Amino acid sequence: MIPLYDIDEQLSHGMRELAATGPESTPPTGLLLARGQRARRRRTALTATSLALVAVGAVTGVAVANRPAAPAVTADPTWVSAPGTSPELELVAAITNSQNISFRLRTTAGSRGNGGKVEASANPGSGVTVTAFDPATANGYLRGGGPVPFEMRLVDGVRYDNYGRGWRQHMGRHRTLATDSDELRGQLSLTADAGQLLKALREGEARVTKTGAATYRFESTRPVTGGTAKLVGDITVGGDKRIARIAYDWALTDRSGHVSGNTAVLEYSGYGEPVIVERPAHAELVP
Amino acid sequence: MTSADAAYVAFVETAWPRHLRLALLLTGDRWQAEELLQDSLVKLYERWRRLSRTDDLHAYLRKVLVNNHTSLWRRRRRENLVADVPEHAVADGPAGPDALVLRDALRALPPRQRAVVVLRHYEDLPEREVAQVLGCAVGTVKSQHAKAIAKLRQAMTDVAPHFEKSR
Repeated sequence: MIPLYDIDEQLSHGMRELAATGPESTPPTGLLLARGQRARRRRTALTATSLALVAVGAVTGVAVANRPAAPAVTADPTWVSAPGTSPELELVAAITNSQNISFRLRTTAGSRGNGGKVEASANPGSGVTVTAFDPATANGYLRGGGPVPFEMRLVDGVRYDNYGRGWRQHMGRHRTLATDSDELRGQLSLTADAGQLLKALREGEARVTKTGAATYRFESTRPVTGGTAKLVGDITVGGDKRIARIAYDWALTDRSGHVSGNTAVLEYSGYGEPVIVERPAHAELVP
Repeated sequence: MTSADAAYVAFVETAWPRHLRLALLLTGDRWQAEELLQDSLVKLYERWRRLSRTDDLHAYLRKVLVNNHTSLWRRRRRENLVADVPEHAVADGPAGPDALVLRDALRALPPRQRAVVVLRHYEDLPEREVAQVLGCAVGTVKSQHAKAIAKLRQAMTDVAPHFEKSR
């Protein structure tokens, strides 16, 4: 650098020199699109529904009408066997049973395009994530498909990720695989968070009906900022009295009649089974 | 791919090199710069359909980038995840010794002061526009800038005496 005698010039010149020596890289457009689509789905759904089971980008919600029997909600799973209980309480019990236990989850998300029609992705595997997580040990992984596969791992509370450019290790201890600044997501990610659901059940916003021996339908229509949100979904409870499958369809109709929204299917399995995740052999430490 | 997504991809390809350099100056770290820019571009995508075609998208992204950086630094500080500035990877190319001195001096600044200096001297924004980007008063920009310049002058002349001391 040629010595300069004005601090303003020195700064301008120095910063340009510093910036010019920065890394040359190509933008990961596929990854950004995938992340943006997931973020948009999550945000719009969270805007319209006050509760959720979230699995990194896929959001589902269930709400139950606030009936006189509901305030006594506790985390006691024995409800599920109580004869004559309401569909709401059966559902609460199943979700409570699904809490604080290891699980596997396959999430398939879709979105509504122009005209509100649900669009299938042109990219095989896009919108599909596979997760395993054990909240007791803070071990788990999340693998996303599509044109830009990615993987996150949590090993004894240490978080790693690989977006196709090698493994990175993040400083600090983590309880979930949530990575962005959305604190709500951070609380909900990767855990069948009965606490959030129970809270919403107490507040009550939708109607639950029993549609089969172990299947339930939830429906909610309510005004939200910018329009009206409609949420319809089905929950299947497995033989182990835990949530086995959630499928939902969420649509926001704005004041001009434009419909947007998303769909998702969450398939839970492997409750209580060990989740073993290996540390990457090589990972660059990042703050 | 929808037409909106195609437009977004085209914008990202144009914006990436320019804003990566800005992110590098803000963070002082190659990995953090890419992460910061990616997070900012994801936020931009979320609002993409609402952004008017007449909006200055580069200015909007710059604002998201700068504010993301400030809030990220605050959050990490609160969570005690980052105790010190990173030791690794900053400039990949042949930065001269003076540039490296400047880099270290910039990294020692609080993020808001660093943002003011970068926006003023790298992006060449007037104080009024810096205030708009940061969401603060012009007077705040002036005071933050004065503090930052004093620290930079001290840090740079301590290490490299040929830097000016006259002002």
